Amino acid sequence: MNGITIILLLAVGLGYFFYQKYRGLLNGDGDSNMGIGRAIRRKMENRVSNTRQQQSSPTPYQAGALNREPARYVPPASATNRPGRPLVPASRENITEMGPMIYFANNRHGSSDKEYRFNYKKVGDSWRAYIIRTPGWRGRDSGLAITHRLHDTQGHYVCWDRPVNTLKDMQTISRIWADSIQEYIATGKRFG
Amino acid sequence: MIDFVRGTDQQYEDLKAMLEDNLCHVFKNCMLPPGCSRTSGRIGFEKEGDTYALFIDKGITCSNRRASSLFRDWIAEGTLRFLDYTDMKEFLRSLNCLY
Repeated sequence: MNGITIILLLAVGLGYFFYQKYRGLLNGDGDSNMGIGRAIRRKMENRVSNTRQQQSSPTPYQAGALNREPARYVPPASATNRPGRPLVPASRENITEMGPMIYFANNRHGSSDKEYRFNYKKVGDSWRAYIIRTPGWRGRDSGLAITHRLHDTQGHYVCWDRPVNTLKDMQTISRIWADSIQEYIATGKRFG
Repeated sequence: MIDFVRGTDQQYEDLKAMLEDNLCHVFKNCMLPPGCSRTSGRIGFEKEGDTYALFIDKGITCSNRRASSLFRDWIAEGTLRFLDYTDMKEFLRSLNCLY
C-alpha cells in the first residue's frame, strides 16, 4: 500500500467521522442539533422581533414627556433676545440699560397722543432717561431749555438737577417729566 | 388676544396678581385681530422689576389700517415694555378698534 492510498483512506475516514458527528446540524433535528441555517434564521427573527417590541413601547423619556406638565415658561418666538433665560429672574443690580419703555402720560385735556418712550441708561454713576418718542409739539416751543432736555451723542435725555442713583428714581422722574410735557403741549404752561 | 382686549378690571387685577411671581406667563392660541397674517398666536406677560413686558410671537404682520403704530411695533419687535401696568392694560384695550 503506497502513500497515496493511505492518504485517501484517511480522508475518507475523516469525512465519514465528521459526517456522523454533525449530521444533525445539516438536517436540523432537535434544538441541540439545529441546522445551522435554521439557527441563524431564528436569531435574526428574534432580533427583528425585539427591535419591533422596543419601537412600540414608549421609552422612559417619551413616556415622561407625555406625562410632563406643560412648561410654565414657554418663551415665545419673540423672546429671541432673551436666550436661555432661567425661570428665576436674574439679579437687577448690574443692569445698566433698560428699554425702550412706554409710558402714557396723564392726559387731562384729552389729547389724542400721549405716548412717550424712554430708554434708560446708566452713565457713570447716574441714570439717564433718553427720550425716544414724544407726541408732536403742536406748535409749542420745543427748545431744550424750555422742555428741560439735555443732549449728548446718544440723543436727548431728561434734565434733572442732580445725579439719579437708581433706575427706579429715573423712571419716576421721567413720568413726571412726561406729564409736565403733556400739560405744556396742551396748554403752553411751562414747568420747572 | 380678544380676551385681554375686552378684559374687565377684575380680570386685569387677577392677571397683575399672577405676574407677581416675576415669571413669564404665556397664553397660547390667542385670537389675533383681523388683518393679521395669522389667526392666533402666543402672548406672554412678565413683570420685570417695577415694569411690565408684553410679548407676542414674532413674524406676524398686519394689514389692518386701523392698527396703531404701537401695535405694529409690537408685532414687528415681538416685545413691548411699559413703565406701568396701567399703561399695558390701556394699550391692550386700545386694540378693541381692530376687532
